[in-house]
Amino acid sequence: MKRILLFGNPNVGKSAIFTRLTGVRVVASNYPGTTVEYLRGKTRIDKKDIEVIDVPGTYSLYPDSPAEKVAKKIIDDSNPKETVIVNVIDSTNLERNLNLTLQLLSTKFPVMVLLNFWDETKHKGITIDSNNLSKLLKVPVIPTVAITGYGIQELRERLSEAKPSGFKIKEKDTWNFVGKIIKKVQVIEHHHHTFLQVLEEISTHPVMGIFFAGIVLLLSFAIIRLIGEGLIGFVFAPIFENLWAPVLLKLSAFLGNANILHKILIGELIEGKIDFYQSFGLLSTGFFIPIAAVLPYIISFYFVLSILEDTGYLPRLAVLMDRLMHQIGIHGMGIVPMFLAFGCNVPGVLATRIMETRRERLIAATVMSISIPCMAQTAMIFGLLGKYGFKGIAPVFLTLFLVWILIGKIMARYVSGESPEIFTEIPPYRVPHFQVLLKKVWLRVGWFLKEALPFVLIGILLVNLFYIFGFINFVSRIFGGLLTNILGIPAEAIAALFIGFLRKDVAIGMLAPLGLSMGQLITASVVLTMYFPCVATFVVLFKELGFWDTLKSSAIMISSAVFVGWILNLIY
Amino acid sequence: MISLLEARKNVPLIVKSISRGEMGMRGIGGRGRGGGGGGGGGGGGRRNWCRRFSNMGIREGVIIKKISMHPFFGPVIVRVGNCEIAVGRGMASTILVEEVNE
Repeated sequence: MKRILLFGNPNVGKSAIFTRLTGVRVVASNYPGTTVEYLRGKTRIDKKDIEVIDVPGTYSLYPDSPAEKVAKKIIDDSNPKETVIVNVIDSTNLERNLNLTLQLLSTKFPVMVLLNFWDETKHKGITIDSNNLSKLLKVPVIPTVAITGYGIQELRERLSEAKPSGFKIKEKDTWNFVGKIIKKVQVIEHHHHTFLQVLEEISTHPVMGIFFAGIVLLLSFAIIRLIGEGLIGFVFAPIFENLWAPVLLKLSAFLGNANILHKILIGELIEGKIDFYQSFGLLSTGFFIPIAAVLPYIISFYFVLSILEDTGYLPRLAVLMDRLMHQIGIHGMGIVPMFLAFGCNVPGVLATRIMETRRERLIAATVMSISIPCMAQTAMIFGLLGKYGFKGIAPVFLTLFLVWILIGKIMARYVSGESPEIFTEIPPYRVPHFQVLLKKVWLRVGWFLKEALPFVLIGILLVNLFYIFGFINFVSRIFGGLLTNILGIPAEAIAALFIGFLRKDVAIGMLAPLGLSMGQLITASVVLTMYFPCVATFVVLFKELGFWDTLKSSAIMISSAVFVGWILNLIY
Repeated sequence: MISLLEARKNVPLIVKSISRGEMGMRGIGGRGRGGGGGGGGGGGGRRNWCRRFSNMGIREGVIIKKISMHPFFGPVIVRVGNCEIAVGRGMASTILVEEVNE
């Protein structure tokens, strides 16, 4: 045996089982030919390394969504002689879960069944005879509690007992058969509502749910800011100021102040000191922006997002947001990619895959790349406009929200195709598994560092080279008039527009040394957010939408950015 | 037999059938069902959607409960077994139910 496939419905605790089995050796990768992400890791059983794959959650082997198609593909691409399917079941939802189980049993693969959330059955008054279930299904059945690790050792020991069960059952007979099994193995008694169930009722209640959502979102943003600013103020900034700046000053003295190398590596000294926002050298601003200004916010954002995901709050938010999202022609689940986009537009665009039609994906991806600034950009906007407080920050985000609604509405009116209705499971609230949570944050943060750091450095290198060779002066003389007349921004800011394609956070950082007024900063921040996606987002947009839709999407972005910038210029 | 939209909240309902026909098509089409797609694909889409109901445990003979219905054409929340499902109004209108007398 070389491979374990973890199969199961969404929200059955597969990832927690995966984490229990694999520990830290995990890679997230896209399945070949798709953009659906899945996790791969290794475990050691009987002194042999075995690959473990966390297959995207699926309700059946007859796929409805791209994620389910990948699940089917993984099974098609595996060899039944070298693979064991471990089917993770939510034991509080046995009946629905068994549908997939029977389909898996009908394949040639050896199967083993895990009854996860075993502890919850007791609170919910459910009794399951797992031995009898094992006899009926003809495969090993093991009760597990992924969070505590209960049953995982048994899983490891009995993995070799998994055998193909040789079930043959037609699709139309499946539910009948499930019904018969359920009658034999499961007893449900009445039980009282737990605290979490009361919370569940409140959070999807049409009126109370809105208040609840308001509290959750306010709290989320407060925590993101608290952790972000805390990390910057107490950890990263002091490290840069006290440890890194002196090193750079020594290097600066060594290099001598006026040569090209000094300009590229250290940038300008501001009053004889390193100013990490304004010096703009590779080693000064180039390291500072991604690591000290942006990374803390990325960490805190993904931490909070992962909590919202793993507790099961996001689908509830989707239900409440359904009406708002229909304004822009997509249903409530569209809030999930939008939310992700606040971290980074790339996973946001990728997550539009949960939408079923091309129309929804085009609308969602376009409005997102126009009007949702990623965390890196947001952190820089706060850094730049924060000193003006509310009246500096609010116009930026208010404008972007209006743009989001307006462009969404216009697209919903004119883009052809269908917009299906919401249809989603609302899983019960669950306490997140801390290790799974940390691993998720770690994977996402690692991804940011890998993808962002090189681009920031390239961006800043280019800025400096452009300045040194006079390219920026040249371009700003040609296009600068346009920028000044329409947007009211000085011609030098044109360099930011170029660099914005590489990294938006760096582009906004480039505004710092220009000495802009508050109004100009607001206009420039909004225009930089809207005019074009960064290169990473552009690439996934292209992959997801294809040539024509990307072209359409880009045309909308550029024209609306100029228009909105012009209006803001008139106001300020 | 009534549609889920008209059914009372918080009482056990037995699913009698998932209605076929025009009402359903409009349901899934929702707003702005433009040209493009082609009629032939529609039928496949519908069968697909019946299966999605059944994958989530909503099928003939099953007992469900309507928990809430969000205003202004918002979704209907349904409890099936131990789990809750949000269903858009159009799709929900094709689920035909009867109250169960306990």
